[in-house]
Amino acid sequence: MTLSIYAMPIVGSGTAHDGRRPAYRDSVFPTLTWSQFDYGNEPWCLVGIADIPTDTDTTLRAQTQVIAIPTNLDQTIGSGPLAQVRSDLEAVNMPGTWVQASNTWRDVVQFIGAVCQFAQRFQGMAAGRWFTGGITLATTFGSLPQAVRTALAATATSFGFDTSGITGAATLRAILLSAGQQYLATQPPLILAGTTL
Amino acid sequence: MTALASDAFTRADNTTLGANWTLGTGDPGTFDIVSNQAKTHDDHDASIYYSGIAWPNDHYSKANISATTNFTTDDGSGFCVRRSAAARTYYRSTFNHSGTGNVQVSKEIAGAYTNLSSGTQVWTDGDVAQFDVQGTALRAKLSGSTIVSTTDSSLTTGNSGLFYSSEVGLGDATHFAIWDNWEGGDFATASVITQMNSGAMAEVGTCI
Repeated sequence: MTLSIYAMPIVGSGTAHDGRRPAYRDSVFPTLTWSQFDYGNEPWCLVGIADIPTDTDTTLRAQTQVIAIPTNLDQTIGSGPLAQVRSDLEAVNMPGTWVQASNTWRDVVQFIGAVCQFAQRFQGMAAGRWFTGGITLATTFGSLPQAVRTALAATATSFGFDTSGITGAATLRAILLSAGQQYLATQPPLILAGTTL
Repeated sequence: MTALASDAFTRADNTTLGANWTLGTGDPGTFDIVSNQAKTHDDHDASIYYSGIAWPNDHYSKANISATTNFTTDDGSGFCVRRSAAARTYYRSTFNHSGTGNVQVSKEIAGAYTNLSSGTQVWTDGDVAQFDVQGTALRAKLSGSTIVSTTDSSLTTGNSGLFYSSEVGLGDATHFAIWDNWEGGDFATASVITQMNSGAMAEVGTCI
């Protein structure tokens, strides 16, 4: 089985008749085996599709809102696409400045998956969003609403993470970067569409 | 795997599943006992969990399932795991007989529904279906084979039970699902002491 990975928006209001789902599930890959990591309540997800036909892959890649990850995850990113990878991540409020040319694509999708898991736990605890009302990756923990600060700390604690870096001056970028790194160091492997990343 | 609770639903017809079952808050549908099986009462989303024990965080729910052939994506017979007492908060799996995408894994967080994964597998009414949650891993199985698996971290605790999804509406009698020989359990291996106290181990001892 070959896994193909894409980043794309999530659509749907979350009601029974309009569930949250990958943007092109219904129009491009309704019949394929797939799974997604949603970025909590943020409108974005990482999608894995098993054995995608070439024409379907081409259709997905043609969508301006879709970012396709190379199939060979163990290939290094290199200097060519580095700036684009960083900006693509930051554009969806995912820390991206940590990525280096020497990182592999697997490093990137594992990190994305890990931060998605952190966002999901926050979602399960607080059911809210981070990046709304002007909040960005540069926003400091101390300037977040009290309820968000409490839930963020509780999310980290629920995973058993070291929370000493969650201080008033810490940015959301730093907190999410640390959460992603700690997730990958301590939690079980991530499974996407039946494949371990 | 170790069974922690089971129910063959062998009892008189009733409009509830009995004292050990609790309807999930926020889902409008209900379940009946019909002909010694559990059956959906209304054609509407419904969840019910076994409340006769305290569930460990990692658990499974499985049963022989049946569903009418007119369900489409996301709908059908299935299970809930980590079903919270809070309204519409759980992981859910659904199984139907549509040609593609007939095995689904999704989550409801305070009523916000997110479709997480989908796969395709032909199955026959009466087959054993199962839904596991172990750590952050979710697995939907048919006849022991994993059809869909993914990772999600939203929910950490809750109960094991049955789930049904349909968007047709209350009062429709053409869509329904049936469960029989339900079992819920965890992923621990049965202890040697437990096995030695069973008749099966006594038989082995006789052979030796």
